[in-house]
Amino acid sequence: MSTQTLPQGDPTAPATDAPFLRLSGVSKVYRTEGMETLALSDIDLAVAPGEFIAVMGPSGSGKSTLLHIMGLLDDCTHGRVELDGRTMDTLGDRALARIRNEEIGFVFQTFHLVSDLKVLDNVEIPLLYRPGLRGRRRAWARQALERVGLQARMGHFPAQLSGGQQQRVAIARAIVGSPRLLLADEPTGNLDSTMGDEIMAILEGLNREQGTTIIMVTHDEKLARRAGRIVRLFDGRQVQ
Amino acid sequence: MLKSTLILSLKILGRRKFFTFVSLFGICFTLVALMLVAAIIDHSFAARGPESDLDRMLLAGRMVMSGPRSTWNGYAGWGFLDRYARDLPGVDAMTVFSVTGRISTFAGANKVTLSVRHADAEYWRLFHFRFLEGAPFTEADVDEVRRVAVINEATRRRVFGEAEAVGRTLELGSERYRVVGVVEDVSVLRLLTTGDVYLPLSLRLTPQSRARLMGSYMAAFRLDGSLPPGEIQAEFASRLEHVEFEDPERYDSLRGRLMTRLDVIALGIVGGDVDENRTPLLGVILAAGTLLFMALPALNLTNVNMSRIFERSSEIGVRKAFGASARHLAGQFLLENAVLCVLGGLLSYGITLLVLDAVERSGLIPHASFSVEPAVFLWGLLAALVFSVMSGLGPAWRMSRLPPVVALRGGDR
Repeated sequence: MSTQTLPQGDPTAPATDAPFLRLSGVSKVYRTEGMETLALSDIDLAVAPGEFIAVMGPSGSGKSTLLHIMGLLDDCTHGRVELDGRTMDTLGDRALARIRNEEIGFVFQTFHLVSDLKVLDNVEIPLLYRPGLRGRRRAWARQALERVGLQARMGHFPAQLSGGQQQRVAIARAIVGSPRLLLADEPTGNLDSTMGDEIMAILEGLNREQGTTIIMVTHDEKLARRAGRIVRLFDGRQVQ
Repeated sequence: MLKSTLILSLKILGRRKFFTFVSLFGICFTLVALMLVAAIIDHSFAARGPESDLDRMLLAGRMVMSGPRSTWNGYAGWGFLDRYARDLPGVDAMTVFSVTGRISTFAGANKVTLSVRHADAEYWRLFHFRFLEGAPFTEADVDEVRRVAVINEATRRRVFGEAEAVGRTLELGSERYRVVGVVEDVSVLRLLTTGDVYLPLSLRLTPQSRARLMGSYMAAFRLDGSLPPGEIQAEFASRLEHVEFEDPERYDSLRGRLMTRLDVIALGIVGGDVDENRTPLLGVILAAGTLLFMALPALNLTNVNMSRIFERSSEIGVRKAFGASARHLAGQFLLENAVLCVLGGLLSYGITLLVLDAVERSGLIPHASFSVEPAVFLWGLLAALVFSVMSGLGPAWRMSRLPPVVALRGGDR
């Protein structure tokens, strides 16, 4: 039944010159008790639809902050963030929540699975906040788990899975709503190299087959080279 | 969305057993206590059983007679009630009856202490006892000072066993009475109608006691609806001003009020002077007491909620990252609280029924038959729901407003 099918991205969609995500002069300053810390300084970045970008840099260089701002999880102190031509800076909580729900998926280094919920329930989370899906949420969540090869673990709790399996659940959760942008913050950082390769293969598949735009923070030069472009940060500044 | 959140709430409550237990304990303790108090008040004062007309009655009883040297705080005497309280406007029937006294008898070799009440014949028309045998004593029995008695079911069982009692002789002290009727037991908390033995009032009236202004009598007045109670109470008060005293050197004023059922409760609970209206004060005390009693567990629940929600800040961050708005999250936590509260309410209802059943069986309150009115349960549940929502609102709102990235880090900002 067509309504039970997880929506697919369109890898054959014509490439456009207009960037899907654009950061213009973005800076981030953290203020704590009279002290200011510059986490990002004057970042300009344009991301085309379907790109796979790796963000690299030493610890404290602002990689995660950049990813959070691109994912609308945090706001910037200066500058502008545009997604699909729309400026994000002026949007309120509900509008930002809707964009995160429909357009963006996240994969975190520490997985951030909800320990109280079973795997299938975890994957279903993004769909809970999307109206009009009654009766289709479970089917979509199952399909997302099948896509990452975890259909046999749907009824498990996260603590019953290995690190690699948990990260695959996190990927399933990130893609279940078919976002156009997938942000992965050191997705292989807590995994051994074999599991890291598996996760990387899944991300590459999504990018290649679904046309999903992927921005991945990593410390691993080898993995970064598998991305289409590398952005390097140092002390909050873009150096490449 | 609501269904999913509801299912999610139940799953989380099931997984977080300690939190669920602590919260349910707080809710249950409060609700059970409130429902027990309500059940006892309802059992003691609601218009039901023999006192089913209580809502359209006014009562006289507690009086204070005072003078230059003495004050007599007690119940009305026959002399006052007979001379000054009859024929009040707006009253279609009046009964005079005594407070209960204790008297002993023997059932075989066993000494049995019984509670005895004297009443006029009207008593049986104003209070609707259920007769298991025979009938009430009549006006003629009272006028002729006949030694007849109505007994309750428990007395029949204790004195006569399982046999019928009507027509048999009951010995009380040195006197013998012919049993004319047996009524269903009335709880000892029903102060107007409880009793083991009911005797004609005339049996205890001597020429001296017939004239006394103070004594051990109460009167109930059934209103015909033609006048508001306030006017009848005013007429009663004006009659008090015209009371003639036998010895004005000793006593020269008599005070008292015609009271509604609520006034009697208020005077009994709050205390105070017999001519003061204590009902508003009782209302304030009950409201404040209930509020305070519920506020303590609510504050405790707020603390529990705060730590629980902070514990789940990572989950909040995840939900925000995947599209939950502040409103979604606040709603989710409030719904979890509401689910907990409804569960607690249902559990409390069951516990209350069990406790009341145990009290009934224990015989702690003789002849008690408690019930929890659905309205009391629903009001209690509603109050608990309000407090539950209030206790969850602050923490839920605070966490739902956190930027997602801060929540993901564990709410450390």
